[in-house]
Amino acid sequence: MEQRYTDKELMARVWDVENIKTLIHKRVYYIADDRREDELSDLWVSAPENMATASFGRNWGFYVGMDAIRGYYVDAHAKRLAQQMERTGAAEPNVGNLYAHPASTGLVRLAGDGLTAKGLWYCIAQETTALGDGTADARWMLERIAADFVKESDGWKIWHMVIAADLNCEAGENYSKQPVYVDWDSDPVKAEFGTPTVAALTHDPTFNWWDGYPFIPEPYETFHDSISYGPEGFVPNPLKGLSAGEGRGYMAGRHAR
Amino acid sequence: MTNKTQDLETMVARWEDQRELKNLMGKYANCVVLNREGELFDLFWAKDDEDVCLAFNDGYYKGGLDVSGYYEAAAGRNALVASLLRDRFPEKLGAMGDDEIYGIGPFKVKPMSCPVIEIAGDGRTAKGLWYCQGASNEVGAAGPVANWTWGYFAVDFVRQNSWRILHLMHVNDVDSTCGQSWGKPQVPYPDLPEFAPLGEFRYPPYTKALTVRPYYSPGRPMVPAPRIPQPYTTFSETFSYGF
Amino acid sequence: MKEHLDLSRRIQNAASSQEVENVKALHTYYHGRADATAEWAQIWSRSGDCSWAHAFGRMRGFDQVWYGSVTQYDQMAMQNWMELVEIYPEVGGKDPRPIMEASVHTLVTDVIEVADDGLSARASFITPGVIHSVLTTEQEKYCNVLWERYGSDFICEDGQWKYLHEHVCPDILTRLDALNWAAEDYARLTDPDPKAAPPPTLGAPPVSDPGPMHHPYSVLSKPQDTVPWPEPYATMDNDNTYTPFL
Repeated sequence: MEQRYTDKELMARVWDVENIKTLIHKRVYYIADDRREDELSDLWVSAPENMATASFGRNWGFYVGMDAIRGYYVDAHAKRLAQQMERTGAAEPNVGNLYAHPASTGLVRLAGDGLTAKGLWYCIAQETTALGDGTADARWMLERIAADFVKESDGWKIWHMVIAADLNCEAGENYSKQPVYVDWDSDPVKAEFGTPTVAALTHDPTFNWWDGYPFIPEPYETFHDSISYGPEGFVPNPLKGLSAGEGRGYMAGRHAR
Repeated sequence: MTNKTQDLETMVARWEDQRELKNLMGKYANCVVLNREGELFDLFWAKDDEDVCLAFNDGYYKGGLDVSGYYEAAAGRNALVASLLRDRFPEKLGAMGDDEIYGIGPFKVKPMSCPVIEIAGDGRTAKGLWYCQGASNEVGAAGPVANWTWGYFAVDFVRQNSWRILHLMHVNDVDSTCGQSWGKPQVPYPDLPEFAPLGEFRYPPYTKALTVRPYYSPGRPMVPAPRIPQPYTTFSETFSYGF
Repeated sequence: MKEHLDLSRRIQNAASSQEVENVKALHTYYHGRADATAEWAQIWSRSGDCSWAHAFGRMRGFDQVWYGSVTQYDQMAMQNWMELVEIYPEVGGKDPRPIMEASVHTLVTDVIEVADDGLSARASFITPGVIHSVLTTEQEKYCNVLWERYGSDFICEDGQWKYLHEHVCPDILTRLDALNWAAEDYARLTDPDPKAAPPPTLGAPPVSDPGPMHHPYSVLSKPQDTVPWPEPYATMDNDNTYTPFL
């Protein structure tokens, strides 16, 4: 088989992949310390053209542009922490809070041209929020992290990220006792996500991983919108499943849960 | 040898180093699963370096004698657990000797994820940080009870004939009974008379007893994770995970 | 360091080590969609030496591995779908395989070695995993916690890294935070009317090497070293493999 890269080019690519994995791992420790502002400034894109197209997605859509991302990820979070302090009487933010989102199972595809990369990870995560009565709401959160990376002048940076939740449930509680269908209106993660720039139900865990989003990154030569983990790369599945017209409405009332 | 070649060799060697360090910690975790604590010091530590240091949430063992003493105590505790189980289940284990039963009982899974590794510019030392999402049944006075253990392995390495651990900090945020919320008061399993000697078991005292990392509680202020390794040239320029 | 090898080989092996990680991760994500077809069609060697082992035993040769891992697995998904559609008709029109469950075995604690000859690689992992599903015939969603260890051998075929051997070792199986696996096992063992340990696997497909090939955690047994970590090695042989060659 003809070798495409010289030894030096291949070794540089090996280090590119390693550095991208390290970038995502560093993010885990930033999250643990709730250093969201630092995360955006240290780990995310800073070139103006990339900042404009950066995106942060969850199951319900995408924030687009670093300003919008900061508004959701940093500013709204800070407001929630301030409200929590009012409720609990804590003297500082994050008393009794815990954020653990260890990323595992990295699958990284470096573009043939070496300018961008795509990756997928899984997290068996947990978040704990103090309630102010001496207890806390401790939750398991299972989620996939998909991300696009771009190489800027000072190294690899996060460009687009999607965190697709599979489930969240309280620690010590029997998950099977939750209602079968998630009530999005009362879902705490959805409530936290607010109103994104682009609203779309990107991953509905009702059907497990049937919807195939976020998709598994394939080898690619150069980046283009159709393979982006930004909103431009999300193609809504024509089947909804939870909407009337695909059977559920017909059976309404026949199953109680 | 041209500079270009030297650069490439360095790139390769450093990549191999970081792979070797991941492998080292993977082997360490496997030994813990297999209750091989009695071998850990010889297998993985810079055992002739008096600067070796092992930290847990509430103190440091420093120096070869104290660090190896901890592991010997852990192995002794494993032996005690096995002998208590043999006493409790004579029909199943009664015919087995001490060596044969060693390892029965505890099951301590300390998987390591999210490595961030830096090799010193001089190539003599390295630093690594891992997240550890553990599930651990140590077997205590209440008998076998599984805990979630969520925390960190933060490690300084030194290159001898191979990479060796110089300082290891294994600290947890959560050490909480599986099946119960770590955000609510824990309901302990009752002590069982057949495991009473484990209630009396004590590890050797720390060389330096102090709170390295307070465990999570709903009233705990945020405690930063162990510091992320930063690029450095030589160890004296950077921080230490030791005491 | 691998200074006994020439620089070019060392570079190729570094790249191969990462390729092997990607193959392993692909397994996780295909399996998460219960897409056995993609997994065995795309990332497995079709060699007669390939094998897939679990507690129940070892399947050998691609035909047997396919039958046990794809044919029977798909059959299970289809049967589940046939029952499920009676309760949840909205599963109509959807691939029955991912509807069955998301079985996600995460990869951490990796120990990876690429052979000096660059033709094979070996890896061990600890895999904290979850298996969850929402729409079930019991009309209760579930999430099981399944912690295992993996021993994996890979070979390079025409420049592509493929699985050759997989040995899966289930250690802990419980329900997400509803149970305590150690205390439950002790309670079972000390019950005046003791029950047998629950089966560690979903079933037992036809195998060439009958099990048990690994015992899950029990209070009364030692943790097993069924898939010891790989050591540095020159070439894949019977001293460096998770499946002895016949």
